[in-house]
Amino acid sequence: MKKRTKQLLALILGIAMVFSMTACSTGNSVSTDASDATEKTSNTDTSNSTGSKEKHTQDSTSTLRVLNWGSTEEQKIAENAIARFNEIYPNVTVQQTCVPVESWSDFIQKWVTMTTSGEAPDIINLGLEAVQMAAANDLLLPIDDIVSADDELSKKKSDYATSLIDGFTVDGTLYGLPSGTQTMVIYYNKKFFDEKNVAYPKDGWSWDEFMETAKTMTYEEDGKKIYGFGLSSSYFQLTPWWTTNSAYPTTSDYSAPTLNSKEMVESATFLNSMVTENVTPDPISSDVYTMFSAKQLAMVGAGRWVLNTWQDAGLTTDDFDLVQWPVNTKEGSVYGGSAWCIGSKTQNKDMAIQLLKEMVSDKTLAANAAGGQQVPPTETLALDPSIMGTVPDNIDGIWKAVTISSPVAAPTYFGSLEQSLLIGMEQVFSGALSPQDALDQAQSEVESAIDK
Amino acid sequence: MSGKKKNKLKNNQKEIFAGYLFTIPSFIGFLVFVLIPVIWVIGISFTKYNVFTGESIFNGLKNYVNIFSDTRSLAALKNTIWYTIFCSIGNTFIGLILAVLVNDKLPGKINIFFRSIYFFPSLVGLTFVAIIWKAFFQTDGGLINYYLDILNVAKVGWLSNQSFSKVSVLILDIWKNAGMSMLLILAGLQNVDKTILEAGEIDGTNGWKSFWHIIIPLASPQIFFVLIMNVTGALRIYESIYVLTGGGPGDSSRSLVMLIAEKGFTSFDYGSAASLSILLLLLIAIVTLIQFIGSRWWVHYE
Repeated sequence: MKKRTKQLLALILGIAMVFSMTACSTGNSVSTDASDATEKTSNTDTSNSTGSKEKHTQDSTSTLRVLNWGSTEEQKIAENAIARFNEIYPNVTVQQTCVPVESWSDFIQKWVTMTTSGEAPDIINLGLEAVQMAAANDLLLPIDDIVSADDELSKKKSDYATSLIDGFTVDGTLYGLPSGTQTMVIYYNKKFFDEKNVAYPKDGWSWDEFMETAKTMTYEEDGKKIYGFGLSSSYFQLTPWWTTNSAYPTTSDYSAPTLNSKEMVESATFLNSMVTENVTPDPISSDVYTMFSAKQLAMVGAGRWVLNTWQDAGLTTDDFDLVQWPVNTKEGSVYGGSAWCIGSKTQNKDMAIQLLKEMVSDKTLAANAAGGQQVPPTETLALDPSIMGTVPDNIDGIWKAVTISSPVAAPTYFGSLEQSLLIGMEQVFSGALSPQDALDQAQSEVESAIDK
Repeated sequence: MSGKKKNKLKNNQKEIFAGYLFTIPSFIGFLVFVLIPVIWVIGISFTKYNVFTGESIFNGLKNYVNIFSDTRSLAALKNTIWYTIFCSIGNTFIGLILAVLVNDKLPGKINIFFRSIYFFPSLVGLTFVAIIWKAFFQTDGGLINYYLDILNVAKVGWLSNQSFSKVSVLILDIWKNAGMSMLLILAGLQNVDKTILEAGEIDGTNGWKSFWHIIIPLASPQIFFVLIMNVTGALRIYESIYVLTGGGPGDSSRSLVMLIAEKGFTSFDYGSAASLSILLLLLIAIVTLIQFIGSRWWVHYE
């Protein structure tokens, strides 16, 4: 090959490779990464069109970015809402990024990446666990004035459970309108209780009654071990054991951790007794929800998210029902959830508000709940059998749990708090440390992390 | 003549220039994706960095001092050293044994069959491997404890006992990666001159003596390469632990890389994450240097 040709070829190859590297940025392209998907939605006709609303055709086009989380189902529900929005505002292009979330830190990381690359989202579906962190870092627009100035949003706000609105209020400022929630109740296997002639648990039962029941319902039959309760050592799932003992991982204003308070240690000791009394399988590695559907557990704590899976596994109203969390000092449970918020960096506030309204419309909230994972954030929808279903019999108990719940503890230092508490509880359950020592260590770790 | 020489020099320079042009793409990639990020990480490791605002405040060696006063960092460092020793030795040793066993000792097709099944775990995605092994390791209802129960051996908390969590990770790591070590060492064994082995047989060396005094020295370059790969891999172990134990119970199976990811992407403490990363970089460099120095005594290049 001639030398000049070689040089030319080298230059062309070099330019091609440089451009191929720059093309690796996600930009507006549909990502092939399995962890997220970016979709453009505009002017799509749907069967849920709001044709009665006036169409607004501004002279100029604009773009809104939506950061959402969940599965392809949740993504589709948001796409439908965006399509209804576009019926009224056809000149607005809406780009949705939907991220499957294993931890809210992943979601925040995605948000930060989008913002630093100049694509800050206008509307965000934010989990309760991340609200304090987001508000403290000025990522969210306060919406009190926006809500009070809009009749539709004001009415919507009044429909929500007060506890849910409180969860998305930081220092008296509202940052989001809930899109769905989760809570925890105790599910129990009715057939096991019938076989053992044990009365079904009732709302208001105590921790002592719970433990007695768990011990009675732990037995072996035909070589198969049945455990009285399936204890899960996840952060959200542990919270009802704190709240029903008037304990909480932080102070009420979230400013400081209280992991080693007397009440927290008491709760941890009670949980450890389930392990030492052998009424629960190993809480660290067991999949308690699969075990319950496989009829290896008499009771388990869970929210609404398990019901579809259990029904697919063949469980019916004859097999199980639910009851409120056992009480030690006060009734309670935990709620989590997410809310639609407006990003503080939005360049298109008016359109963002309109899109927010569609995202929290009854149609969208009902569609969210119809998927079977979330509980609708309003009483009307949460007690509607066509949305919540009728399995188990006491399905209305889920809404009751929401109304008596405390929010999952999610301060600005949530990442450190969650890690340290879970590590501490694992050390308790594995017998490495006593509850007092484990929680003292966890408290010290979180305090050091805050001080840094 | 001088004209010809001048032409030759000019042609050489053009060749060299063309060579440099060909290296530019890789160099740009190295600069953008390796060198600049490493320099940035070194800089961040001396600061308290706010990921939300981009603000960084210089705090000297505080992040590095905190590593050695933080029990979690020390636990992760200790675990990483444990993994480095046992995972690398385990993978290399098992790989070597398997390589010797499948090195043309059996008829052709049977040989191929065994080579394939030993290598197969390396091809399976780690997530699927971990799901399966997690089921095997379950305390109640897991396959391993089921067979232990049949043998009247007490159930083991493979994933919930602090003493066994690292062992579970070790078993999974060796099961997954020994096949790759086998393949690489096998390439070395295949290159061992058969006439040398025959000469050894004539002289009366066979079995263990042949293996230790002929095969190992002649295959030592490949074994050394595999050992380097396994050691650096073990120092950076992450996926096996993440999917199997999550680093728990407590911090009993947490590695340095897991802690770096947690500090950076869960706690958003980029300064601490950066300082841990630099520590890991230094550790890898020192261990690799020791290996290369030690190789003078046992690695024989032709």
